[in-house]
Amino acid sequence: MILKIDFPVKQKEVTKFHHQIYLDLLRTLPNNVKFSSKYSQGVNQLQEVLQVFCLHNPSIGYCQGMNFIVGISLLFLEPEDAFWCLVVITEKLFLPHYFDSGLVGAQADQQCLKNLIELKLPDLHDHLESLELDLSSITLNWFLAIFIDALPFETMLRIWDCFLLEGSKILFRYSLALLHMHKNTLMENNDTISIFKSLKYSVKFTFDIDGLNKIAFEQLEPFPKRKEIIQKQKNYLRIKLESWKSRRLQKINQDIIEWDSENDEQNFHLKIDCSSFVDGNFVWVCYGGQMEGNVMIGDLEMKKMSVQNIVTESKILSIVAIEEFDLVLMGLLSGNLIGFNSVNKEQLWNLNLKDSILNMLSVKAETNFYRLYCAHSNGKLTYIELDSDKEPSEIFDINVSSSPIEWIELVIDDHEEKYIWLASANTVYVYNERTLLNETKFEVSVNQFDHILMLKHTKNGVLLSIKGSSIIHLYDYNTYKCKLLFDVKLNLRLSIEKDDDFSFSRNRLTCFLSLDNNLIWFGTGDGYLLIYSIEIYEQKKIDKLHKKFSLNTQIFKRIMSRRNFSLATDFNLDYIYHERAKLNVKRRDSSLPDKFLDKNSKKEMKKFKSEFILKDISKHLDVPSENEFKINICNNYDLEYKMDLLTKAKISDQPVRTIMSKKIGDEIAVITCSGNYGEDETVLKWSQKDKNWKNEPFIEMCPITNIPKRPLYAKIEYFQNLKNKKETKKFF
Amino acid sequence: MAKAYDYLFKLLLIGDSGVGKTCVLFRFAEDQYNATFISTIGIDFKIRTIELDGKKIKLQIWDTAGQERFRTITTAYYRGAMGILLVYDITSEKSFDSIRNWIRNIEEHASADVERMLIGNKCDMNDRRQVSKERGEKLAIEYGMKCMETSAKLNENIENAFFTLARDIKAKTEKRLNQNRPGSNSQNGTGSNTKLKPKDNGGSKSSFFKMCTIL
Repeated sequence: MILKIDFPVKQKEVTKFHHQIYLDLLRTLPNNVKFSSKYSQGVNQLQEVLQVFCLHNPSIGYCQGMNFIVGISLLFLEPEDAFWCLVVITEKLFLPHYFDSGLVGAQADQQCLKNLIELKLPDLHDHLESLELDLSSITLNWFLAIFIDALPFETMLRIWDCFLLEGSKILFRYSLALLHMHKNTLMENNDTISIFKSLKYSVKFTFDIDGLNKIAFEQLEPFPKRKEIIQKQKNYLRIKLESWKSRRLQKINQDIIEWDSENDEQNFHLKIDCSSFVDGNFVWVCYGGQMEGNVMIGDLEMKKMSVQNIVTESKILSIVAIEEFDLVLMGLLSGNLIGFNSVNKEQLWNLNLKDSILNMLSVKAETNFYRLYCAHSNGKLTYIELDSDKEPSEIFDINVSSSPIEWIELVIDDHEEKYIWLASANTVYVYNERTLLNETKFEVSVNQFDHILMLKHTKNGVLLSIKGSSIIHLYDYNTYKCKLLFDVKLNLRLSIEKDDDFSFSRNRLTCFLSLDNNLIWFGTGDGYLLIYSIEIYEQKKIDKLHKKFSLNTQIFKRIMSRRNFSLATDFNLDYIYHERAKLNVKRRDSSLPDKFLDKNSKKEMKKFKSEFILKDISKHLDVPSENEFKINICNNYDLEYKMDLLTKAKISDQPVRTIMSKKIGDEIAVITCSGNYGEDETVLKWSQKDKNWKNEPFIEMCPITNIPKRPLYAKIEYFQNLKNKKETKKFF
Repeated sequence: MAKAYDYLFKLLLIGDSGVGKTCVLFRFAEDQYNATFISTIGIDFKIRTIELDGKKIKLQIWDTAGQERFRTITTAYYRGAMGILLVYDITSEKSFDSIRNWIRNIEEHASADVERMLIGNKCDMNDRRQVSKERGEKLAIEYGMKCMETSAKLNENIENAFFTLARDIKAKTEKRLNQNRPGSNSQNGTGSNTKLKPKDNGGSKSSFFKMCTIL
């Protein structure tokens, strides 16, 4: 290697240590004429060798002490040889990790030296122990700088000779010899300072090289064999390394907490909004507040995720990936549609669609051609054609409804005809996917103010639910009739909580998903995940036991119907209830048609809660007559559906936000996202093992250090401790 | 053997690499200035005995390596330190910015009642100044410590800094000694007794607040 060639001094590895190297250049051999000024030849060579070493071994870089080693080498060697000398010393002669950021190897050697002192100089060891004195304050220097500045120059060079020949073992031998030589002085003193002082002083004047050699190679015999020393070194290194690693992890974690505390503390409450699979092995999870959207990317295999450097101008409400183009599309609250490259995570384009994009759907039309549908809060549907990752030029708007379109679902009927179902308020609009003509529309509840939460296509029909309700509806996609109503709450709690009409029910559905093998996953507002299997039976074969879990059974009716009543303890409240009923009562329960409220169920209700005076509010309401209902309930089906609960798990204290699935190989992976950013185990990967579904959490890693971040509760605890610590300190 | 001193104080010098810790120490311990120092590796120490109010105080001062990776070694010395001098270089913004990190290090590793002092070294190089005196003072106030600008080269404020720190530690130590044995205090003379009184009030006051925060 010729050092004169232009090496990239500005490389990161070099610039990181440039300042430290510069500081030490004149502090290496200041009394040597070749190293005494900035312009001296030796100083230049020293700088070059140290910088090249940073390139050669970035994990060590530059550590104080190496300047001495190179300085001494340069007195005898050409820069190139001095460089290789440094390489041999740091990488071959010393333990690994000797000079790197924890100085772990160097500390391990100090432990090893201590052990050898105990072995060979037991009286000195006892003396030092009784004073609780750690010699490494002095001896660390002997090792790190190979006796530079500790011994007279000539003596030091003799040790260097042996060291280069025999390796780091020789440093133990000479250290012990030095201690042995000056043992009497050390034993005489009884306090730390004088021992350090006398040791430093007497070693500095060890001119008797031959005497020292005699002790080192004769008097100390039998000295532990090289193998034994290496074994000791390795043992201490392992111990030191472990403790250092754990400490470093803690430290870095702390640093990160403080580093991102300012950003993160605000981010803690940020809600997870949507997620999507991208390129098979990754999942993008979007979270954010009103004015910002952030993205976390999780690795399905490693189960790790980290926050990306993607910040959008407002909340990301929907995300769609088109793998063929390496394209990820995000629909924002602000109405912007942003295209990202899924590989390098860079923004490709940003298109303003004027109104909030609540949901998106991409449909593959033919090769290299996709149709993208964006649902807007102004009731419009935007149709975009995509043939590459370039910004689309063809954009069409279709007026669908006067209410926001909250969900788009692709539904393929028995004749392989594609339809898109649009959910807007309590109405489903069905459009032909090819012609974009409106086929039909139907309402799914009585109350116009209801909003459909989401739609999911399954092979049995389309699942839908109303926001705030725990009832799932299954609609037939040929007849648009409701085939099944099922209240998930039945499986959540036995004693039904008292609902008030002003807050969301904790048992409300927040998301659901249907898998190919007749499995339906539900996420609820109180963080439960429920997995049901749907089975279809001919009506007569239904097992009685399961009956209570499906429609048209007494228990179901009773509980369902309860929701159409309010319980009052006083007649005087009549008016209030009357008014409230007008406004709100219908909001929550209206996914159930009043048809179910037959007289029997009312009676049962009375029995059920006899201590209360039951008031039938529907009496006071202008209940529309049956003819006005547009809801079709299909009662005379030959087939009956059985919902069987397979798994019920509480995965969060917060609502489950999204559930999605992907087939990877033969396995189906399901990802659930719940809660807010920064909480523990917000993103889970579910996989099926022997019919059971098991979950594994994604660990959030710091994007900078790649070290796991602490979850929210740990952070809060940490801050609390820090605060307490500071507060108590103030009073000292 | 009779003790040659009344008190032994352990002090520690910390700060970024190259701010002049070794020079400050050398000036104080040997009263010399030497521009040709070698970089400190790991830890070094110097001793000087000073006299304060008729008491002989032996100062055992540890000098540390400034490079980040030596912190694992140097933090072991924080625990025993009674006074810590945080040194920055007034011609280096970066070394001043690091002071917060060093303080954090102290909070983590040193005992809670350690006396601290901020030292802005190299004040002889006013033409290359990057950190104003006011900023130093502001930082010192923020962390409740004294601050001083020094020059090891011109021997400005070096003695003053060490003496001030030693005096503070001495006052604290004596206060604690007196609290521990209030009866045997009378020999010390009335002067120190009257001095201590207001401090005693302060002490009880702080403990009252301490109770409050716990509640």
